[in-house]
Amino acid sequence: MKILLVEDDKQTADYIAKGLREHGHVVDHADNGRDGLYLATGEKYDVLIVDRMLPQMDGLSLVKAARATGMKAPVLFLTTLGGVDDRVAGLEAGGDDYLTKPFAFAELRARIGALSRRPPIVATTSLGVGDLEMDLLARTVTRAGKRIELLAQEFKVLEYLLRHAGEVVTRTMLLEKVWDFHFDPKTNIVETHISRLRSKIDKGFDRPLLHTIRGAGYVIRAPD
Amino acid sequence: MSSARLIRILRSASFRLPLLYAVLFVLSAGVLFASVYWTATAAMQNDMAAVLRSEAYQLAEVHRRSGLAGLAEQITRRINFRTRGPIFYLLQAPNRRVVVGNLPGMPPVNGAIDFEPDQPQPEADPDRPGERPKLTGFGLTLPDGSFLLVAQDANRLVDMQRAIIRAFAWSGGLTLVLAIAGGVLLGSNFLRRIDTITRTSRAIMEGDLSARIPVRGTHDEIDQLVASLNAMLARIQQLMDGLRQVSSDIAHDLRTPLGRLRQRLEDARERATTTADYSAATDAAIEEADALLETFSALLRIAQVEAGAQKSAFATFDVSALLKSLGETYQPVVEDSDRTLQVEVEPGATLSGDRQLMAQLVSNLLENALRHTPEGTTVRLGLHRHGDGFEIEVADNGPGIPASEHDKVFDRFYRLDRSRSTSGSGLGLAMVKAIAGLHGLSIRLEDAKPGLRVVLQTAK
Repeated sequence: MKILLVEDDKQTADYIAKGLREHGHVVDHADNGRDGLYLATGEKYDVLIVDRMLPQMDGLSLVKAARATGMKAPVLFLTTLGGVDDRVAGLEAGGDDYLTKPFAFAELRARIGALSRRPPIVATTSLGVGDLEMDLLARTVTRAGKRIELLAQEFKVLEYLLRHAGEVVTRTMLLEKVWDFHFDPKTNIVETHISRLRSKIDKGFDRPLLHTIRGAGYVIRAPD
Repeated sequence: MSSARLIRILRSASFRLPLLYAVLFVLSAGVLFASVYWTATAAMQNDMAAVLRSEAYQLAEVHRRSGLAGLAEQITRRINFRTRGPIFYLLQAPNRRVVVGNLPGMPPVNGAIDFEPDQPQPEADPDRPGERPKLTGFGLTLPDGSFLLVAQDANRLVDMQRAIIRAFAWSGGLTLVLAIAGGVLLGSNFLRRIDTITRTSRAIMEGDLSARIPVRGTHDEIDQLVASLNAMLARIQQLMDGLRQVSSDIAHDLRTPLGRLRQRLEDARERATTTADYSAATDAAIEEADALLETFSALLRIAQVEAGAQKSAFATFDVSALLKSLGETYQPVVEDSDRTLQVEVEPGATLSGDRQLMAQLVSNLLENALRHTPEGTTVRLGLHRHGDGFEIEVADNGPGIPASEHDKVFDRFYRLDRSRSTSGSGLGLAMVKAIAGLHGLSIRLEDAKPGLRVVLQTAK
């Protein structure tokens, strides 16, 4: 994937660029807003990673200006500001996701993966992986034809996982997208719900669909 | 009153305004005076002329009936009996000989005439000794060629004019004096109050943040200004105190974990020999650093919430629905920890606020109830509506908090002695208090007998 990184702090930029390159991505780096805008509008990128506070032109203005020229690539904002207002401002300016510093590299990778594979928004009425099927209208789930009863929140977790089938979904992503929690609860909400969900969809089947990726998150995928 | 102070009063707006009004008043009084003066003078002149004319024609009628001798007799009678005030008469024969009269002879004139007779008559005006009488008269040449003059003292008019001028001069002068005195009084009063405000703000600039401007209790504009200035000062002081508190909290409470982090790194350098040792040490250091970063972001968030910066994201949302959903979220977590969660939420309560922050508030309370109670505890999450408002309740039947600690638990980093060993930053309830404050919710702790009940209530 070709990624544009606009970040003025050299250490952070090197850390991100190095990590992404190790995972096979091509990374262009700009250390100020104006160069960032120049690259963003001149080249074609799959994902933009933009810091909020930049010299010469701040991240919000950069993304607004780039969007005005018709740039369509998804944008992930990085920031040390984590308030709701900041998040809303970022999304309104044309950002697609938001990550507060400091963050684990696995979190960044998972978010970039989710952004770049963001499917076109089409109305789907069913989701599925392997022999697991979810009917979004009837709000039912079956595995191998057998009906599975899920509580409302388990259904939402499974729906999010299925929409990102094959991708790593982090704990934070689940908290934000399923529960709308933009803070870190001190209890293991995600783990508890995942474990209950797992016992309902995987228990009694030889090949599990829901996997835990240590230090990163969860992934649902069809058995090989 | 010192001269500098007098100059300040003269410059002050509240003095200039009455002065301006006084000048305007005097000017309008001048216009009024002129019109009264001219109208009264003209009316009196007309009146005198009419009296004189009718007297002259009456006497001409006497002359027509009784001849010159009869007229002379009539005039003599009128002079003697002074039937009509100080009226002067002159009857001259056609040869200009004075037949009768109390005026010196003069060439005949027909119609109105103002004149000053050469010889003052002794009885002309007893009120004005020595002054030459000014007369206004009406002359008439009779059919036989004799001349009749009827005149009156014109000084009566002058008297009236003088009276008008005197009255206006007195009242105008008095108005001006009163206006200036009132202006000085109002100005110095106003200035004293402004001085108080200036003095107080100087005191505050010099570091006494607790200084407040006294309110007079008159509820006038200045009192209202002073009240809002005082409210502003109170808010500033509160923010400053908060800031000071945060700085000292950080200084005191982050030293320990930072020291621990340093200790671990030093240990690794001194003792670690294998890769496994190093990675164990770095893992521990990362964990410590993560906890520190988390504490910092919690502090930052509390500061943001306390500053009210999030109010722009306020929208009306369904609190009942939020609590129900939080109940569903925490139900399995509570069950897994061998406790019980009871959710009793009345539907339909709404609040204008930040949904995500309210979610964090309730989560913090629920997590506290889980963390600081033994297994087997029952936790209750409730919402009860009262008219327009509502009450959110998070209660447990655990060990509770002694009443003496109820106020302190909301302070940053404050932890009960018995919870020093459990995990947690000591910032959860500080965050709860900040969020409740942002939403105008009052918060109180109660003894649930046994256990702790936290109640959040909308303002009544």
